[in-house]
Amino acid sequence: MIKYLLPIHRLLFLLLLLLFFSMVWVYLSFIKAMYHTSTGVKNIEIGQIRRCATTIDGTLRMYLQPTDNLVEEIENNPDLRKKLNRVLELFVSREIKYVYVIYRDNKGFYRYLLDGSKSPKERGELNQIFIPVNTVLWRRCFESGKDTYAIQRNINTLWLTYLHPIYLNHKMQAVLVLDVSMIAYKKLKQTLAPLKGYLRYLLFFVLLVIFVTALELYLFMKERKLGRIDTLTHLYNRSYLREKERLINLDSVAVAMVDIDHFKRINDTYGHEFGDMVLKAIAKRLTTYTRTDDIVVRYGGEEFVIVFSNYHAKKNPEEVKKIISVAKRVQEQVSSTPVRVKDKQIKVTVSMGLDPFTYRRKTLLESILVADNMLYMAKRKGRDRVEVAKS
Amino acid sequence: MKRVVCSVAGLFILIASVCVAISLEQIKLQLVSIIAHAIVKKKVVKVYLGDKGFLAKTKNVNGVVFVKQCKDADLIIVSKPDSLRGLCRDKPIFVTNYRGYRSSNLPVGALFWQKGRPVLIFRKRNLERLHVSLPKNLKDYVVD
Repeated sequence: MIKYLLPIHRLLFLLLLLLFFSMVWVYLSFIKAMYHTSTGVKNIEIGQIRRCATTIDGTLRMYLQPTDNLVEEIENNPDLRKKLNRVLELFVSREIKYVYVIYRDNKGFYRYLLDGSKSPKERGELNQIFIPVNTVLWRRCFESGKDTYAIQRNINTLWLTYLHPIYLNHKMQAVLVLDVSMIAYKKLKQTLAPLKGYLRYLLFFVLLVIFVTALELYLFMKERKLGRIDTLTHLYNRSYLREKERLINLDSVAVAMVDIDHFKRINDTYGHEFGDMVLKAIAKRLTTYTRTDDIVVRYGGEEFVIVFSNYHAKKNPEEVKKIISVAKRVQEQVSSTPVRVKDKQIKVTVSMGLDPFTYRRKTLLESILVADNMLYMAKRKGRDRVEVAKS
Repeated sequence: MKRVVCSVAGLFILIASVCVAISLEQIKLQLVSIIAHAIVKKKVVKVYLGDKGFLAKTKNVNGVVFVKQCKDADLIIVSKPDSLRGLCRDKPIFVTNYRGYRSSNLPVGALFWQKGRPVLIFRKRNLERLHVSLPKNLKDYVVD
């Protein structure tokens, strides 16, 4: 169907495709840039959380005596625990959702030591078992004794969990935990979302334009094709041949004109509907017995033009004999079998005029005229035969 | 330490395995089903849910049927176990908060959400009292 496109349309389509791929490239580059920006902003956010953890650690130390066993000290001093919980509570905000201290018991269980949660439902009690979702993070923190964090992928309400080891007497005794809510993450995403949205809309718009253009081109091609196809026989019509003429190399084709013998009589005897069926049958036979490279055209009425392709009589005169035999074979095959239409079977023959010297003609039309003269001769000589131009 | 890691990883896998649906309600339902079948060895376990805030909708799924009276249930899920009376007190009781678990000797375990995380605990003493043997994947949540 592409062949029905005008060069300007092809160019337009290519330009649109180019535009689309450019947009995709811009979008992907933007995503990449956004990732870098997001990582940068995330690092800034994490830096703030780290500073906050250090501040909390420092504040807790103001209330704690140097001890080798922080857990025991807090267990034995409920007032101190209350005070420390209140300190942690001060740091709870919309962004830092939970602040608490966890220790690891002798059996390896993680347990609550302090908790700044305001809600009793959320507050972990002293020595209550704590089950982390990301075990690797916790193991890493307790084993390395360094600040660690992880993005929470399994908890919907939390974005990040930050662990800060608490050292007393040069011994890591517990871990201060800061659970950062999705608000911080959403804030981060919201900053970049408009740009992303804008690009998406742009990409969508380009896609829409491409779609509409492609649809228009398709309809155009369809319309164009319909204008070049004979609706009865589904063969190409004369308009197609006229358009194609300038593209046909006369040095490599031979032209034949075919006419159904006594077609008027068939129409008069059996009616026009029957005549149409005969036309269809003959057209089908012509297409079947010629090669796919050959062009079969309904030239008008019961006349057909065959343009035999890949024929090089100019270079090789022997090809003339070959094309004559091909033309004769086609004519014989078309005429040999009776045409069967609606339980009726009639013998239909065709006459053919062949111009094997198309390369000598100035235009395709001239060759068609020569073939037409030969056809006329074939009719005069009794029909059901092929007449070949001599020069 | 290894035990803790295994247990926590186990819980995570357990949670992840039931997280086919994204809804928290569905996760809770799946967990209730797992716990119910671990404690009561029946094809269909009747569960009495006393804590109405735990699940917004009680849907009978995966061999769990919710009953309206605790006396008809095989497993009881409540927030305050001591409020139960009569025969219900002798049945396996699960609580939906840590306070309820700690303040009473009745619960066989607890399942609740805290700080966005699920917490699952089984009480060893009560498991033995009820002659319950937990499947291997849940044994790591047993505490003394």
